[in-house]
Parts: sequence; structure tokens; C-alpha cells
Amino acid sequence: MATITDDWFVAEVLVHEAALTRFLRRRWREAAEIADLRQEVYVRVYESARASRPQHPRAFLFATARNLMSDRIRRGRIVSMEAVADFEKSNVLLVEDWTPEHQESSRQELQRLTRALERLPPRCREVIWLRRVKGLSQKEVAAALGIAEGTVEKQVAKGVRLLTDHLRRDEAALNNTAPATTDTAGKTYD
Amino acid sequence: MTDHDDIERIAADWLARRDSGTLSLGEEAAFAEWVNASVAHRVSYLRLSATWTRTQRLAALEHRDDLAMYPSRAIAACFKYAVRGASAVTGLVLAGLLAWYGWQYSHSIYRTEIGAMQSLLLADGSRVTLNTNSRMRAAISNGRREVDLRQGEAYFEVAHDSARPFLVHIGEVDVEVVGTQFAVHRSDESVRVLVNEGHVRVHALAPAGPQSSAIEMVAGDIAVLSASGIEHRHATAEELDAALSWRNGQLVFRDTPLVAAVAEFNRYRSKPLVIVDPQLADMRIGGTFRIANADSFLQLLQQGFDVDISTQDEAVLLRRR
Repeated sequence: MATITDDWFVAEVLVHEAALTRFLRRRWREAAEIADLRQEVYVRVYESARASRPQHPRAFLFATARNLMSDRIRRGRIVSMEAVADFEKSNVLLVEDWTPEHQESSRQELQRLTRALERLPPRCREVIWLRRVKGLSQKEVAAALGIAEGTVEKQVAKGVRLLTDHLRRDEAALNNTAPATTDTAGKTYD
Repeated sequence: MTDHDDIERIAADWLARRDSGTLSLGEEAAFAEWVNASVAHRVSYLRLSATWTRTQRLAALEHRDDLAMYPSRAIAACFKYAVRGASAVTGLVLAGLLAWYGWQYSHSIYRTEIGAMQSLLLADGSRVTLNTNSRMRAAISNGRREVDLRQGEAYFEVAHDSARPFLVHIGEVDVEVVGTQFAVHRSDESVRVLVNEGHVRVHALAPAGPQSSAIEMVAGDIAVLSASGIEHRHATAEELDAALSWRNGQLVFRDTPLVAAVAEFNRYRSKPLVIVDPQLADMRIGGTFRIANADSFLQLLQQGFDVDISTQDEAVLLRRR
């Protein structure tokens, strides 16, 4: 299934999710809409990249995010006056200096994965443990836990969603080495 | 928000389906159709699948049983064991209840093969060294620390924690400790407890009734509990050393009948030593031998005691020359 764009997307765009999420949170009032917003940013970036690969993926990602937000505001959705005012203040694109997981040691990655695993609810964690750590097949996991294979699948589905959230949130927290900069202090990129 | 959530839910289901190893061709085609139907689907799937790929690295934790959480049913399904008395079953029920109430607990099973020795750390910081051919279950939670020695022999270095008693169940015998070092050996006929440091309290269910008798043991004490009763005495320093020598990879014999020395060696061997001539059984031997290599032991028997050694496929036979 994986195309070249897929691989590029995972390696060059998804790695910035932590920074992107923080970027969105600082500018978008409705916290509940952030995940949805982020997904739409991804869709736009992916579609664009399929046609022609952007030279600076990170900058492109953030520029797309900015454009999307202003589009939404212009489309006149439920937006309070404060949201608009805040947004317009940030007409300078903020880019942090640090780079994400490419540079991390595999030990740090394992620690991060372990932390995320430990945050799973008990049953879900058991399934993921047997599947990924012990390397049991789905059938073997079902037999070991005395549950149906369908249930194992459900737990894997639940687990992968939770792990994704935990991992990305962990990255956001740990990589926040730069002090919180104000919008106007950021530098422009390209 | 609901759109993205729905899409992600479906993406997760697809990922789990594809990971199951039982995906049919028709389903694979249906997945291709769904993932190609919109970029939103594709992106959502990619995001989850990137995580799933990352989790492959978790295989590095394979031997970190101290981080594992196994449900009680896994024990019954995967591990056959000889249950003596009610304590093991109670342990299972307790673990199940704890899981139901969402308690934080770590619940692991350890086993060693014949001839192996494994030292490990429990979740509370206590260290356990498992000797050959042993099986142990450990359940550490906020409120208590429990170990169940199903088979074999273990040496415990218990981390001091007066708020959480440390309990070792060995069949119908319970050892309760606060902070100490002691060893437990479970055989078919008896349970032997040996205290190296500190103090333990041993409870044994009396066969006749519910009332249990408790023995207070201090450093240097040995207790042997069997069907014929309880033997509790103070051991000499040499006796203690000999009983714990396995931790250094050695066996120490002092005026030991050959039959007993051979039985001890055989705990660590898959190809047993067998005494063919009964006259050899009572022969007394002494010395310190490396567990891993019975050759020096056999050499001593050959040269010093006129024993004929004959190595077969299934066993090593000891005959009178």
C-alpha cells in the first residue's frame, strides 16, 4: 500500500506533529477542534506533496496550518472576536530551533515507547505487551488471555490510537527545550 | 471533530485487522478501497501505522518481566503447575479482583530451565535469584508484595518496606518478611527455609485444621517443613554456606552420601547421573564442585573412589569397578 509519498509523509511531516499541535493550540481558541484542524492540515499537505514535493516540509507544514486557520476564520465559523484578534497578532511564522526525533537516540525512543505503553489501560496494555514485546501472534494472544481474537483486534485498535496520542504528547513535552516565545519574537522562515 | 474521530476509529480498526494475520483477499481489497477513497482516510491511517511501526522496538523489552502485566488467566492457560493447597488458587482470584478494580499492580512469572540461574529485580526493588528448574510468580502492588514459589529454589533479598509486608507462598507454607535475606527450597517432600540475614515468620497450615502455627526464624536458622512435621534449628556457618553455595555456581559436600550428592547434581542436569550399584549409594564424599561442570566430580569418583563412569545417551551410569 505504501507509496513514496506515504513514506515521505511519515518521515518528513508526521515527525513535526508535536510542534504543529503546539502551534495550533496557541492560535486556535477551540481546543476540541485542534485534532480535526491538524488532520485537515495533513490532508492539504499530502495532496500538495503528491503533485509536487515541497522543498522545506516543515515550513510548508506550518504555512499550510496558518492558511487553513485563516480560511476557517474567513469562512465565518463560530469565532469570537478574541480569537480573531489573537490570530492576527501572529502574522509572523514561528519556528522553533530544535529538531525532532531524527536526532534522538534509540534509547530515548525506547523510553518514550515504554512510557506510552505504561499509560495504556490494563487490558489494552496486556494485549499490546504480548503482541509487540513478546511477539505472540494474534491467535496466541487470544489463547493466552482466554479472549476472542476479535477482542484482541479491538484492543490493538484502541491501543494504537492511545499510543499515538501519548507518543506525540510526550514528544511535545520533552522537546519543549526552548522557552515559550511570543509570536512577534519569532523569526520568519525562507 | 467527529469526522476526524470517526475516520480515525475506522483507520484503527483497519490497522488491527491487517495486523491480525488473518486478512482475506476480499478484505485487503476493501481496505485499499477505503484508504484510497480520500486523502483524509489515507493520512489518518498513516498516522496510526507510523506509531504501530515504532512499537516494533518494544521487542527490546522482551526480558523485562518487571514491567509486564499478565492477567490471572494467562497463568492457567500457559503454565501448567502442580498446585499444592489453596494458596495458589487464592492468589489467582486475588489477582483477578485487583485487575477488575483497576489497581496498579505488577504481576509477573519467572522460570528457569534446568541448569540455569537467574537473578532479577521485582517491582519493589527486591532481588530474587532463581536456581535451577524453578518457577515463581510475583505480584507487587501498592499495598502488598507477594511471591509464589511454585517449584524449585529461590534466594530473596527483600527491600525494606514496613508499609508493605513481603509474603512468599510455598504450597501451604507462608513466609512473611519485612527486610531480610533468605532462601526457600521447595521439593516434592518438603519446603526448606533458610535465613541468612534479618528475620522471618513462617506459617504452616496444620493438616488437621485451619489454625496455622507460626515459627519465628532469625539469621542462621533453618526450618524444614514436611508431612512428618516441622524441624527448626540453628545452622552452623558451614551448613549455611553449603546450602547457599549454588549462588556462587558451586555445590559443597561435606561427608555427604553419594546418593544425596548425585541427587543434588541432577537438579542441574538434563542428563542425570545414575548409581547402578546400590553399594555405592552410602559412600561418603566431600568437596566443592562447580555446578556447570560435573567432570571434576566424576573424575574424583573415578580416581579416588574406584567408580566406573559410563556415559550413555540418556544418562551417565556410575558402577562399582
